[in-house]
Amino acid sequence: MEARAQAINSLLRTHRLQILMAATGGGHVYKMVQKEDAIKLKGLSTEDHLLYQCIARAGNVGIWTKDMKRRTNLSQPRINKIVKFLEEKGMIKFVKSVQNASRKMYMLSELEPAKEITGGPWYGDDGKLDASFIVEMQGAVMSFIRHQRVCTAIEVLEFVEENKICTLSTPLQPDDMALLLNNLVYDGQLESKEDEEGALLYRPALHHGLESTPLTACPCGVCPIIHDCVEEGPISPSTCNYYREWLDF
Amino acid sequence: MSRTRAMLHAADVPAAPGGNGTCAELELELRRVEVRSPLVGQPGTTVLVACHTSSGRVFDPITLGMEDADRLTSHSARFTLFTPAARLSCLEGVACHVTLIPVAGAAQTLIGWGVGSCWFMHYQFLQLSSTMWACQDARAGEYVLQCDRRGGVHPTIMIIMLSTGAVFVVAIALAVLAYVRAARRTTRLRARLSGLAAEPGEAAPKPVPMYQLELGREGGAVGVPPGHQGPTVVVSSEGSLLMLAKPEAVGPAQPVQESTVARALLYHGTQSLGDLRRSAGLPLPHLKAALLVLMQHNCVASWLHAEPPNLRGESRVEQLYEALPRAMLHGLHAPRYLIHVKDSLGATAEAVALKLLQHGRLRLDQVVAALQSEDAAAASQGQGEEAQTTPQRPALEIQAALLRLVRSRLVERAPVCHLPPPRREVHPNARKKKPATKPGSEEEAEQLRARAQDQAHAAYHAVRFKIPTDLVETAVPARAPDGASLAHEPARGGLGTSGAQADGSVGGKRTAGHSTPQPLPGVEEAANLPAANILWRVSLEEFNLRLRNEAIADHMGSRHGPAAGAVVAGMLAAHAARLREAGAPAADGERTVLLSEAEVARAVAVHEPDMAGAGPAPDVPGTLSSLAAEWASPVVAAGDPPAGARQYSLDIAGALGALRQGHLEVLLHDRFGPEGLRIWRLLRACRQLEQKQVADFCMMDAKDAKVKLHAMLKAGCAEGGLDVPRTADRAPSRTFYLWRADVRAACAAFTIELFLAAGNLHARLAHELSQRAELLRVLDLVNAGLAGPGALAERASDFSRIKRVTTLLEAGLLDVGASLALFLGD
Repeated sequence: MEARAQAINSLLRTHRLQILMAATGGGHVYKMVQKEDAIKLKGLSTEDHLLYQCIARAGNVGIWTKDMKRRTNLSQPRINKIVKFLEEKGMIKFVKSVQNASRKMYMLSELEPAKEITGGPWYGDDGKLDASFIVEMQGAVMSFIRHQRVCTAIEVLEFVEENKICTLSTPLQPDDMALLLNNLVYDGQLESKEDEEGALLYRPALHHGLESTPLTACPCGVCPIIHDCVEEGPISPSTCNYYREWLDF
Repeated sequence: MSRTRAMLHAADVPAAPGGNGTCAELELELRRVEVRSPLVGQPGTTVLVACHTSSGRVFDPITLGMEDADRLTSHSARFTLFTPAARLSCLEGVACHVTLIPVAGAAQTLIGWGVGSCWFMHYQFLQLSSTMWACQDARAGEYVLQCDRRGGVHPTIMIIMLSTGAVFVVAIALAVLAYVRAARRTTRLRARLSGLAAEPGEAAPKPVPMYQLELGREGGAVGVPPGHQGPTVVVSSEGSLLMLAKPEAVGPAQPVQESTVARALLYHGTQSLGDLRRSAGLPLPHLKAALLVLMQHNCVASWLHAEPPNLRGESRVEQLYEALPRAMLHGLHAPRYLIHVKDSLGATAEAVALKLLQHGRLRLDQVVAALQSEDAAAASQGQGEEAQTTPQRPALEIQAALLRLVRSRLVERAPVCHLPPPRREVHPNARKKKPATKPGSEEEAEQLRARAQDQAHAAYHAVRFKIPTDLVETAVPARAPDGASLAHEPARGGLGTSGAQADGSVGGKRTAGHSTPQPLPGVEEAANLPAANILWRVSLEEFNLRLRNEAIADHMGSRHGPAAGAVVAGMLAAHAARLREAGAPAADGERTVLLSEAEVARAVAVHEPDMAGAGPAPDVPGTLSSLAAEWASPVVAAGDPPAGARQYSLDIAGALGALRQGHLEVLLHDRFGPEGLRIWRLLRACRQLEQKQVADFCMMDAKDAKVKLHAMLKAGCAEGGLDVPRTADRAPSRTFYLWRADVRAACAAFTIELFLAAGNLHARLAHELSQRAELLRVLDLVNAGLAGPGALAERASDFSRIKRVTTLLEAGLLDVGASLALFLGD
C-alpha cells in the first residue's frame, strides 16, 4: 500500500496522473496524462493547474472569466494573472463569442471553437456576419437552383462542395445550407414545399409579389404620422406637404 | 365629388333653365341658424349672421342673443328666423357668415366666406325641387335657406304682409303654422320615398339630396354589423374616418340631424326609437325624419323585435334601428359599379342603377317616372337636333333594364321593415355545450324563437333576387335596346345558366342529384307580391363580392398565366351558380363546391371573352390538373380518374388570404424594408420565436433584428407579449420573450389605414375643390351655357391642374375602395 502511495505521489508530482472524483460511490478515479500534456503542465502551480483544468473542462464552448471565478473560488486579479500566464505559454486562447461580444472567453488552444461561439460559417473572424460571403453564396446557389428547377438542400450542398465554392476550414453542414436557402425563401426568391418523405424541396419563385398597392401608391401609405393626421388639426390632409408634392408632380 | 364629376363630364352638370341667360329672379329667406360651440354657454354671447351674394350684401346683418333661441343647451342654440325675402338674380350665388361674439375673449367664426360648399347658386335652387337648403360647416354651424322657386312672393311672406296692423299676432301664428306644415310635408315626402307609407299609383317621387356621413370622428369603435366575419373595424380617437355614405353628394346639403342619428347609432349600437331619442338628443319629429332618410339610403336597418310573452301572455313589440357601416362603406364602389353596369348591361341599366343609387330604394313605377321625367327635362332643355335625338325612354325598356339588373344580382329587393333582428354570431370557441332541452321548457321556446328568426331571414334571402311574377310576363326579351351586348350577362353575374333559370322563377332546371329544398314559410307570399309593392335597391354587397372574385382571378392569372386566371374565374362563377341553385347566400363557404372539368369548362366558355382577351381558349382540363399539382395552389383535385371523373375545388379563403398577404407584404416592405419583410415571413412560418432566434434565422445582426421587431410591434404587425419564464422567480433576465406575426391584427391595422387613407383622400379632394370654388363656378356656368368658353380660356392652366388633381385623387379613392373590398369582403 505504501509503495503504491509513493508511486501515485510521484506520478502526481510529474503531472502524469490525474485524480478524479467517481461519479458514483464517492471514491477516486485515476486517469493517466499523456507525456506531451504532462510536459506542458510542468512548472504550473496548484492554482494554475486548477484554472487550467477548469478551462479544459469547458471544452470547445469556452468559459467566461466570471465563471472561472465562481468555479475555482480564486480572486479576479489572481485569475487574470494566471490566464495571462497560461496564454503566454500557449496553453489557452482567447475567443470572441458572437452571442456575448463583451465577454472574455477562453478555451484550450488546441480546440476549435464551437458553432455557438463563432456563429457558424456565415460569421467572419470578427464575430460579425460576413455579408459579402453570404451574398456570393446566395448568388451561386440561386444560379444552381434555376438550372436544376427543383432540388433539395443536400443537392445544393453537394454542388457547393464539388465546385469548391466554399473554402472555409470547416465544411458546410446541411443545416447551414438550409438556413441560407430558407432566407432566400423569406426574401421571396425561392419557394419551398415538403415532398412525400418530409424533405424540403426548393425552386425559384414564380411570382415576386406586388410592387405597389393603392395604399402605398398614395402618400398616406408611407406616411409615418398617418394616425396623427386629422382634419383641422396641426397635421391634416388639407395642409399635408406629402400630398402637395404628390399632386404637383 | 359631385363637383368633380361636373367638371369632368359636362353632360352630367344640371343645366340651368333658360340657357340663353334669361332666367327669373328668386326670392330667398333665411329660416334657421344653428350654432354649436362652448361659447354658447357663456352669458351675454351673441350670434352675428351676415349673408352675401356674388354682387353684394343680402339680408341685413342679424344679431341674435341667446334669449332669442328657440332651443338652447349648454353648447348649442337654434334660432328660427323670418327674414324679409331677398332677391337672387340669375348667375348669382349666396352664402352666409356666422360668428359667435362672447362678452370677453375672441370671436369665433363658425362659417366663413371661404367655405366653397356653403355657396348656393341660383340655378341649383331651380334644378332640384327641394325648397330648403342647408349648409353645415365642419366647425359646427348651420344655416338653412328657403327658396321660393316660382319667383313670386312666398306664401309665408304674404301672410306677414297682410298681417300688418291689428292682426299682427295672428299673422305670426299663421306663419309658424305654415312653417310647421312645410316641415310635415317634407317628412311625409320622405316617408313615402322610404316605402313605409307607400301609396300604390302615386306619382314619381321628388329626388332627395344625398347626404354625407362622418363616422368615427369622436373615437370609439364603429359598430360591427351582425354576421361580421372580417377584421373588426376600429377607429382610433385620433383618426378621422370620413366616408361617403353615397357615391356622390348631389348639392351641398348635409343635414345635421341625419349625421347626428347615424353617429348615435354607430356609437351606441342597435337601439329602439326611445333610446335613440335620448342618445341623439333630437326632437321626435326630426329624429323620425332623419331615420327615414337614413333607411331610405340603406344606411340604417330596421328590425321588429318581439319580447317573449310574460305570464299574462302579453308580448312587447318594438322597432329597433341599427346602423350599417359596411353598407355605407360599400358606397365607395359606386362609380365602379356604374361603369360595370354600363359595360355589361347598357346605358339604360346604368341610368336605372344611378337612380337607385341616388334615391336609395325605389319601386319600379318610381324608377320609370323618375327616368321619364329626367328625359322630358333633358328634351325640353336640349337645343336643336339634340332634343330630337333623345326621345323619352319607354316604360317597358326601363322595366327590362331593371329586370336584367335583378337577374344579374346587381339589384335586389329591399328588406321589409318587420324582419326580426338577426341572431348574433357566437365564435365556435365561445359556444357552450348545453344539455338537451326539455319539451315545453323556456330553453326550447328560445330555440324555437331563434329558428323562427333564422327562417324569416332565410325567407328574405330566398326572394332577394326574385322577379315578381307579374313582371316576368310583361318583360321584353333580354336584349339591351341601346345596343349593348348581353351575351356576357350571366357571366358577369357569376352564373352558368340564363337569368330566368337561375332566378328560379321561370322553368328553373335543377341539376341532377340536387334535391329540391323545402319552401320556407313566408317565401311564397313574398314571391307573389305584386311589383307595385316592391322596393328595389342596388346590391353593392354582391358587387363587393365580385370585385373580390375578380381580384382572386387576376392574382392567379398573374402568378400562373392568363389561362389559370380564366379557369379560376370560371370556377368561381360555377360555384356561384351552384349556390344560387341551392338558394344559399353568394358569400357562403370558404371553399367552392366540387366542380367537374366539364362544368368549369362551360363557365370558362362564358367568361373567356372577358378573361383571356383575344388569346386562344384555355385548355381547361390541362390547366386544372397543372394548377392542382402546383405548390401552395388553392386548387385541389379530388376523385380518381380511372374510377370516375376528376373534380376540383378552389380554396377561396386560402386564395383570398394569399392576396391579402401580398398587399400586406408590400406595405411591410415599404415600412420596414426587406429585412422587416424577411422577419415577418419567418415569424409566419415558425409561429413564434425568441429575438435571438429571429436574428439567427434571418441572418441579421441581433441589434438590427431588435429594432425591426419593436418597430413592427409598434405598428401592430408583430406581437411580442408572450413571456416564458425559465425560473420560478420569473426574473426578467431569465425569461424568454417570444415574438410572433399577428396576421389578424396586421390585417385590421391595414384596414384601418385604408379607411384613414380613403378619408384623407376625400378630405384633400374637398379641400382642392373648395380652393378652386371660383373656377368651378365659372365651369358650371360654361357647362350650363350661361357663360362663354372664353371664360375658361383665361384660366386654362388652373383648369388643367384641378382636372389632373381631381382625377388623381378620385382614382386613388376608387383604388383604395377596391383594396377595402378585399379586406372587408367576407
